[in-house]
Formats: sequence, C-alpha cells, structure tokens
Amino acid sequence: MRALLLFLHKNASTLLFLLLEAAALFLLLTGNSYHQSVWFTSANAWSGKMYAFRHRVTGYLNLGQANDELWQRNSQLEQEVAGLRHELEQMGWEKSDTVAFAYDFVYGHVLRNSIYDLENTVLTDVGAADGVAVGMGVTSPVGIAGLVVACSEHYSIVASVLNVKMRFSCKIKGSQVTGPLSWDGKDIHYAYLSELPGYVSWHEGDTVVTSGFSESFAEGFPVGVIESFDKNEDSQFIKAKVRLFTQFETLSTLRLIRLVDEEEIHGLQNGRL
Amino acid sequence: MNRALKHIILFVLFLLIQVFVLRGMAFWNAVPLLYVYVVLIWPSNMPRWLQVLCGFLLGLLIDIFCDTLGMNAMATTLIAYLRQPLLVTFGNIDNGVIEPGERSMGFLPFWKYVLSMVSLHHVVLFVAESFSLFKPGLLLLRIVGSILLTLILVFVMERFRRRS
Repeated sequence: MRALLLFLHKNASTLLFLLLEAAALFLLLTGNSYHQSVWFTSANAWSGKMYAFRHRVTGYLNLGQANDELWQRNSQLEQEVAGLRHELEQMGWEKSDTVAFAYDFVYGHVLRNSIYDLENTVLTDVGAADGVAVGMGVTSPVGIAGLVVACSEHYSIVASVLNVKMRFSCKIKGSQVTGPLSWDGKDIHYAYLSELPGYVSWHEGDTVVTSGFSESFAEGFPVGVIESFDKNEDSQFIKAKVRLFTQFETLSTLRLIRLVDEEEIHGLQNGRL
Repeated sequence: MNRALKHIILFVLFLLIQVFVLRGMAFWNAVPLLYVYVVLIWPSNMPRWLQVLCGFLLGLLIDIFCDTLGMNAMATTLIAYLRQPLLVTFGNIDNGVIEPGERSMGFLPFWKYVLSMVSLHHVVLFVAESFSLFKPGLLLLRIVGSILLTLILVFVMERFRRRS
C-alpha cells in the first residue's frame, strides 16, 4: 500500500498526463456525433455568448458585401417573378393566396465560421428555441452552406460544405442524375460532384442544385457551377469540379431550411407513420 | 504570486488572440498557432502536474471555441508533459528559476527548444486531424507551413518581450 502511494506520488504527472490524453482521445473519437457533446463545442452557452458579443461589435464589417449580395439576388428574383407572372397571365392564371410551400426558413447570423480546418463548422445564433433541429439544411443567400449537426437552446453548429466528412446529394439542373457532393480539403471555392455516369454528356457551366433526395434540402437549391471534369479512364463514372456559389470567407447570413412535412418523412423512414 | 498572475493573464490573452484573431488567418492551408507560446514560457519551477493540467485546459478551451473536439487538447497536453525534459536537454536551467526565452537561455538553445516543442505539437495536431481525411501531401503542407507560421509569430513575440 505504501509502495503504491509512493509510486502514485512519484509518477503523479505521468499518470495525470495519461489520463488527460485518454480524455482528449475520447473526445476526438466520439466527437463525430457533435450533438452528443454540445457542451464541448462553441454552441455551449458561454462561448456562444462570447461569439455573440464579438458579432455585435464586428458584425458590421461585412454588411457592405452582404448587402450587395442580397441586392443582386433580389434583383434576379424580381426579374424572375416578373417573367413568370407574364407567362402565367398569358395562360390566364389568376392570383390565389393559398400556395402551400414544402418548407420555411429560420434566419440566422454567422457568429463564427472556420474555413481553414478539414472539418469546418459555422456557429449560428439560432438554436432549438427558434425551431432549429439537427439535420436541417442550411443555405446562404446564394447557395447551400451546410447541415445542422448540433444545437443548444440558443445556438447551433452547422457542418459546412467545407467539411470533409459531409456528403450532399446533388444533381445537375435539368437532369435526374444525382451524385454526392463533397469537399477535398484544399480550396474553399471548389467542391466535387462524383459518381456521375460517364455515358451522359455534361457541359462546363452547368448549374448544380440539391437533389431533394435527403431530408435536409428540398429540391433545387443552388449549389454551384461545373468548372471542369475529371474523367478516370478505369472508371465508368466521372467527377465534376464545382465552383461553389457560397463565398465561405465572407459568410454572414444563413437560412436554415425547415421542411414542413419533415416529421412525416422521418416517420416513413423509421417504418412508422 | 505576481508571476502566477502574469501567466494567468497571458493564458487568457493568448487564448483570446488565437480564437478571435489568428483563427481567421491562414496562408494556403497553413494556420498560425501562436497559443503554444503560453506553454513555452512557463517558469521552469512550475510543478509538472500543473503544467500538464494547464496544457490540457488550454487545448480544451481552444477545442471548445473552434469545434475541433480534442485535437488541440491532445497536442497541447503532450508538449506540456514533455516540456521539462526538453528544457533540460536544450537549455541550461541549473542556475535558478527561469522563464524560457532568448535572453534567459541564449539564442540557439531557446530556438532548439521552441522548434522541438512547436513541431511536436503541430505534428500531433494535424495527424489527429487527418484521421477524417488522409492526404499525405496536404498533411505535410499543413504541418510544415503551420510550423513556419507559428515560429515567425514566436520570433515576433520574442522581439516584443520586455527585457528583465
């Protein structure tokens, strides 16, 4: 007993070291499911508040660009609406107030955004209290941004498109061929759409949108445009390099997509309705 | 007590600088991790168990703020533990209590110590990170680039350090 105590005393720092390294390793290995360890992420109340404070102080810096982006997007949409209205009126359509949408939005600000890691994440100022839930899709004003992986009461963490562990089901606009979009950890402006069948001819400049085959995104949210193709001789699939619409270095506002019949979809997948 | 207070303030200061300032800076795929400077300059008579504990705490706080889940804690705990033997190997710390620095240790011994500590830390950190995506070229770029950036910042800090 005495010998044991003496041993413990002599090797206290080594034992402490081993213990703490084990704790770090545990966090690293189990942390993949962020939502089980919200406390150990920036969504916890303390760091959330600190980031929120910083946002209040420096949040104005990016407003110029954010405003430009929104203004351009707004103009595009206005044009589109005008065009559609014109077409519809020619078809003898009358305006009705009972249009049902398959989704609505929760609007959030970016409090913290990493772009230099391999598993990049975004901290937003909306959480469970605002109706955010794990698994919701997230877009910037111009394109998809990521997926909610953890949320506390007032904050949530979004694994961005720039997270090597994420896969987003996407397709080329106007086609029905889907494939997973993923990031390769290098350039924050590009992601790769893989598993495209080689027998169809795609074009550079084609737009990539979400496929709607996931419970996170409805169909048709813009993702990016195809910049080039990478054709592997041995493979029957081709990979497309996609220039992302979302500018992650200046990301400031987010829309979190709440699919209205999400619960129904969940129920179906779990075999109960 | 005065010295302890100074190191507590430095701890908080470098944590905040890392999280709120340096986090948003990078060149290519390399990131500066200046917060290890806190560990580098702890006084040589600090109890070893306290070094390990503070190292873990520093890394864990960085992890919490940056959502990196244990990576920084792992790397920082390791260098906090290996600090004493490295300090003994590279610097002559027999003559009294010192705070490691260019002035107290001499230029070359200090930089050998810094290089070994920073390299260890960055290698462990980025290897841990690469478990989610292993690309040897990218890993090497991140390790070497980040070591260079951190060393440059440590060099700048040493210029700023008050002569005592």
